[in-house]
Formats: sequence, C-alpha cells, structure tokens
Amino acid sequence: MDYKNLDTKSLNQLLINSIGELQQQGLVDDYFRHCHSLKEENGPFFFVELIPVFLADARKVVNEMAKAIDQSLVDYNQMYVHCIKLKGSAACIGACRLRNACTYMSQAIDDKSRDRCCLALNDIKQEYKYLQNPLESIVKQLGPNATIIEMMKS
Amino acid sequence: MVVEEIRGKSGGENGNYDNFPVGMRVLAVDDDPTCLRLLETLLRKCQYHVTVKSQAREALQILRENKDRFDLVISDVHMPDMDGFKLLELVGLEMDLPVIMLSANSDPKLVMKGVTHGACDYLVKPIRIEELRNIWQHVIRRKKFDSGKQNKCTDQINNCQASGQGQMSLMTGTVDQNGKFNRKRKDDDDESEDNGDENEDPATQKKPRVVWSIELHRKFVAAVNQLGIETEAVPKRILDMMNVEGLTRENVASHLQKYRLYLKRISSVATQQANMAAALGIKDSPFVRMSSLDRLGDFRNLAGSGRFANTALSPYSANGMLGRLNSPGGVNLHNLTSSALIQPNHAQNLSNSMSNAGKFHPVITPGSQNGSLFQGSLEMDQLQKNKCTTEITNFNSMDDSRMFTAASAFTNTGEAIGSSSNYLNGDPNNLMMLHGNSQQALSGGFGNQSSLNMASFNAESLNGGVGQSSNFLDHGKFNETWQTIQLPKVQSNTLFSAEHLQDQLPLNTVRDNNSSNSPHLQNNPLDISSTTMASRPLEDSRGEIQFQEGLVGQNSDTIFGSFDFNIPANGNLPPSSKSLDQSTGIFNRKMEMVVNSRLPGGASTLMQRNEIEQSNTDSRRSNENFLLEQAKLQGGFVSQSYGSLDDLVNAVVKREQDGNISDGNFGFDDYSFGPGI
Repeated sequence: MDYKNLDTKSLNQLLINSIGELQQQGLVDDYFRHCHSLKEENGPFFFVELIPVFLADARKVVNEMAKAIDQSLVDYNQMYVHCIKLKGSAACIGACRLRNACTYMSQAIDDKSRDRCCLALNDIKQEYKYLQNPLESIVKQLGPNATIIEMMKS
Repeated sequence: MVVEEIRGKSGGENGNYDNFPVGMRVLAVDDDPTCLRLLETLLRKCQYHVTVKSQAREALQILRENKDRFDLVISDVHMPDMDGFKLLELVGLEMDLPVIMLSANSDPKLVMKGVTHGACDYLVKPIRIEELRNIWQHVIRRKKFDSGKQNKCTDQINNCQASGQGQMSLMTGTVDQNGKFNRKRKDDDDESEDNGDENEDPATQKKPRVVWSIELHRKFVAAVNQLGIETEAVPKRILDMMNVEGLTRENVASHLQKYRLYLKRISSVATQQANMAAALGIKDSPFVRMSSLDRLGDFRNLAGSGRFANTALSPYSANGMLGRLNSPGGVNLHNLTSSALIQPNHAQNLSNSMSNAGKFHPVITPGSQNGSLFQGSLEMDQLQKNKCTTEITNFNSMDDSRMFTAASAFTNTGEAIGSSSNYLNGDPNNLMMLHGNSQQALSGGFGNQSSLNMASFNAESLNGGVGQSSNFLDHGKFNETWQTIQLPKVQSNTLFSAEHLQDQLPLNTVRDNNSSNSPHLQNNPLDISSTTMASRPLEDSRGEIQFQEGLVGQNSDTIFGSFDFNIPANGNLPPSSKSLDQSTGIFNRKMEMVVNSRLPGGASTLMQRNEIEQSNTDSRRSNENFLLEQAKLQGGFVSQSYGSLDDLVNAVVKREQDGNISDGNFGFDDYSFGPGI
C-alpha cells in the first residue's frame, strides 16, 4: 500500500484502525492506544520510535533468557530479572499477551522449574512473533512517510 | 540507552511553584527504554519537569551534584547496575527526597520492601497517568514534615489541583494516613506555628533546622521531666526552662511530639516484648524478639488512639518493618496489630536478654496482642559486633503501629554504649540505637557512631559497637536501620516503671551491623517488672512520651541518643515511642532503638540486627531519624533500621539537617527487627 498517497487524515485513520484491530485480536490492550495518543506530548516521532525500541529491547531480553536457560545451572535470579523487565516493557506498551506470558514465566521461575521455564520461554517467543509483524507494519505505515509528521502533529 | 532531557523550568530556577504541582521536578530512573520513554511522556503530560536517566548511578550523580534540583525521584526496582531499593535508600539518606518505586511486579513482599526502605509510594507497571497526577503529594508531605512547621504548604496544598484524592497505589494505609495527615495539617491551624507561605518553593527554601544535639535533648528531657510529661510539659514552659537561645516554641513542640511518640513506642514495645517473652518462654536466650508490629492497616487505628495526635506510628512503619522482616532474613510477620502503642501502664518488659551471639533468628511471637512481632533476621555478621542480648519486652497494646522490635535484653552493664562519650547521661541506660545495617551508603563514620546508650549494656556486650556510639550526631546520614530495642525491664526500677510508660513503644533496637549497638545485655530474666523501655525517645512526633523523670539520656543529636534511662527510681524510661514515623518518608530506616533502661540488672536493649541488612542490601538508610518518624510515615510506622547506632545517629543528624527534627521528622523507614536468635 502506498502510504505516501494518502493524506494525513486517512493515514491517521488507518493507524487507528490498525491499533483497533490489534486490540481486538487481543494482542494489545488499551495501553497501546494510549501510547499512541501520547504523541502530542512527546513530539511526532514518539510512537514511531517507541515501537522499534520496544521490539529491539524485547528481542534482546528474550535472547538473554534463552541463554540463561541453556546454562547447565540456571540462574533463576537472573532469569527473574529478565522476565520482570520484559513484563514491564510489555505492560507499558500494552502488549498484554506478552505480559501474560511473562507472568507465566515468572511463576515457573518461582518454582525453579527448568522445564516450565522452557515452556514459558517458548510462549514468550511465540507471543513476540505474533506481535512483531503488526507492530512493524505500523511503523512502516508511520515511519518513512513524510506526511506522518504532519499527521503526528495533528 | 541514556536519555536525559532537562526541561527548562518555567518561572525560574526552581520551577514555578505558584502552580504547584505544575513544574514539579521529577527524576525518572529506569533501565528499560520503553518504560522510561513512556514514563517521561506521561510525566510531561502532567506538566512536571522531567529528567530521565537509565542508569541508577547516573541518577545518583546528578542528584548529588545538586540536591535541590529535584523534588521527587521515580525509580524502577530492578536495574542492572544498582538495586532500586539501594538507590532508594541512598536518595533518602543523602538527599532526603521522596522516592517512588516502580515495578512490573506487584508482589506485596516487594511493596513492603519498598515501604520499609522508605519509598513513599510503589507503582506497578503499566502506569496510568492518573497515578502520576497525584505523586506531588509526596513532595508536599515531606516538605511539611521536614520543615516542622505546620501548614507551611497549606497554600500550596490548597492551590494544588489535586486530581484525585491520591491514589496511593499500594500503600493504602499510607494513603489514609496521609490523607489524615494532610487534612489534619490543613485544618489544624493551631498547630502551625509559622503559618504562612513562607515556602512557596519547597525545593528551594530550606528552613534552618534545629539540630537536637545531645545536650539540647538532655535539657529538653530534663525540662520535660521536671514539668511532668503528662500535664505540665507544654512547649512554652519547656522552652522557658531550657533557656536555649535560638530555640523556638515550635521546635520544642515538634520535638516534644516526637518524644511522646517515642515513649509510647517504647512502652508498647516493651509490652510486646514481654508478651513475646512470655509466649516464647525464652529466657536468656540470645535472640531477638520482635515486638509486635503494627500493621499498616492498623495504623489507622492509631489515629483513633487518643494519645497521639498523629498517628505517629503509622502503619507505614509497621509495614516497613514487615517488609524488612520479609527479607530473606526470614522474617516472620506475625499478625500485626495496629496498636502499637502500649498502654503506659503496661509496660512491662520482660524480655529475655539474649545475647547476641550470632545470628538472631527471627523470633516469631505469637501474635501477641500487641501486634505481631517482626522478626528480622539479624544479620549475623553485623550483629557480631554487637552482642546484644535482646530481651523481650512486653508491650502493651501499642497504639503505635510501629512496633517492633526485637526484644533484646540488654543487660545493663552500665556500659553505655558509646558510653562514655556519647552518652549524655553517661547512663548505661541509654538507648541504644542499633543500626541495622550499615550500608555502604553509610559512611564509615557510622560505625562508630552509634551512640548507644545502652544503659544497661554489659560492658562486654557492647563491644565495639557501642563503644562507638557517639556519633549520632556526627553523621548526617542515617544509614542505619534503627531497630528499636526493647529493653527489657529487667529491673524494676529501671528505666521504666511500668506505670510510667505510657504507650511507649519499646523499641527494640536491633543492632546495627556496625554499630555498636549490640550490646549484649546480659540476659535478664524476663520477668522484669518494670519494663524498661528505654527507647530513646526518638523524636517522635507524636505520642506522649511518658518520660519519667528518670529518663534521660539521650543523645540528642541523634535521634535518640541514648536515653539514659537511668532512672533507677522511676525506672521510667521514656519510652520513646517514637513511632516510627518516617517523616520524610524514608522508611528505610530501621530503627533499632535500643531502649536501655537503665536496668541495673541489665537492661536489655534489644539489639537486633537486622536481617534486613543481609537481605536487603539496601538497608534503608533513611536519613531520617530513625526511630520514629511519623511524620513522614504515612501510614506506617517508621521502621528504620539503622544498621548501627551510628547510622541512627547519622540519621538523626541528617534529619536535623534536613529539617527540623522537632518536626517529627523522624522517619523510620522500617524497623528492622532482628530476628531473635
């Protein structure tokens, strides 16, 4: 879809729709929309920048967790730290399913059950994947588009 | 990712406080970039001036560069370079700023930990903007308590467009407490001496604080005793009697308030300890018992208690204690009851004097009437220094929520910790403030600071720790966890006479790690008739401190320097019921107050160590005073664990530096209860 040809208003609408869809799917909750609505305060690029930051950070944390689990002796404290961090990010941005997966992981950590941690990690990875595509497409919608700036300002 | 944005302040260097909370200067610290960004945005939306840092160390650095640059700090709990609680303690100690903790984890234990470490609030991610709209109240509250003047910020408060009644997320008790406080403050014009908006800009205006030095406090106590704590000891008369230049009636008033609270606390602690002792049937065992602590919720009840004007012992402190207790040390919180205050007449301390042999294992008291006992696991290593025997004192139902303390029996070996030098009275009965943990934050000085006035510490018991005492005053920072130690009233005549104690919470001071406090008191048989709550009367803001004439000893500087309760005759130890108010909201202080009553037999001061120290690396050090800071404590009692007396002293000093201590600024962040061993 050629976003460049769309006017600001349409683009904005498109974005809102996307967000609504995601919310309907349950991938994100209201916070996501709320984050989007914060763009006024922080400038036009706020939302656009936030998503990739979130995705990158989440990816990093997931990798760290995977590494930690692979150790022969799992450091649960470290795992917990990663998990809580991811949970915080997910919660802040509104990625509710990912957050729930983290909750499950933290329970597994509490029980110090490696198996359950592995399962939980798989869940997390899965949720991350589900989230990644729609979010990245939102960024594409907004990012490179010059009119985005105007849209953002509006 | 380091993001730092400093927004220009509108209206001047310190922000435009005419429209407070607009322009409130917030420092946000979180290693998670997503959250940090969002937080920043939300805060801006609330019209605050926001600075963000992703590393705790950087945050500390900019805070240290200019202590007046910020009004409030929001920090994540889990950060890679420094534990959020540690940062919390440091900020509280060094800068005395309100700190809000942030986490994705809403586990009550963690919340409690935050409370005990002195956080004034705990928010759970994801954060809603509504929650952020109310955070300004923490600034106001602290200012108010700090300044010691009532209604200073009334105008501000009145002008503030509070969006809501403050949704304190987890500290419900605190909220209520705060609510009460705020209302009280607003409404109670009588209390405010210096009414007026002298301080529109809380951040910039620093009122000269009265430092309650040991000498000063001694005079105060003497005057109070002379006049009679219950009736005649009114600030005006005390002031006249003290005849000190530059001291205002307000200073005296707030100091008196704290003192009363302290006494109350002591008595209450003593009662609890006694109960505990009875329940546990431990005699002469080296463990520290925790006196019942009030719960946060209970704190509210305190409000009801006539005795304290403000619930000095806010449940907050109680929570603090709980929190601390929950720390790995394996603290067991037994039911906490709100009444922290001990009925004055009940004070009976009995406590087993326990020598602080090593680790204190948390003693769980059977839900005594007075509240639950906290057990803190005393950090042994720290305790090592102090050998304190803890006695369990009985606490009468304490209204005070704070309560706590492991009962440590200090034998009154006459070793005043710190003795000699620090004790004002030279009485061994001084309270020993044990500092629970000596955090790194604590400057080394602390170690020796504890002015433990353990009146009844055996000389040997106080090794090291006590000897140092002394510098309560010196240290400006309180890193210590104060634990109030209940001095078991070993001897009847000792410090407290049961009847004298009026709701004093016997604070059991638990040791402090480096502090000297660990006086180990010889084990006194629990059945000491008189409870010696020689808790130092921390400057409790509230509570009536029944200060018996005999009481006295206090190192004024520090919070309660050491009370010398040597009032053999009366045995009344001024229970420093200093409720642990954490005035400044730094709850991380565990105050260990060792109330030493001068028990000839061996007053026992509880020294407890805080396990917290172990568990919490960040022993909160609140710069506040230790023992009871109700003021800040919103609802909880101030449990401040002072690792050592030094810390306590420092805390006191700090408090004083920060503001008028008299203002009841003693904030106990948390009580560290040394676990009974």
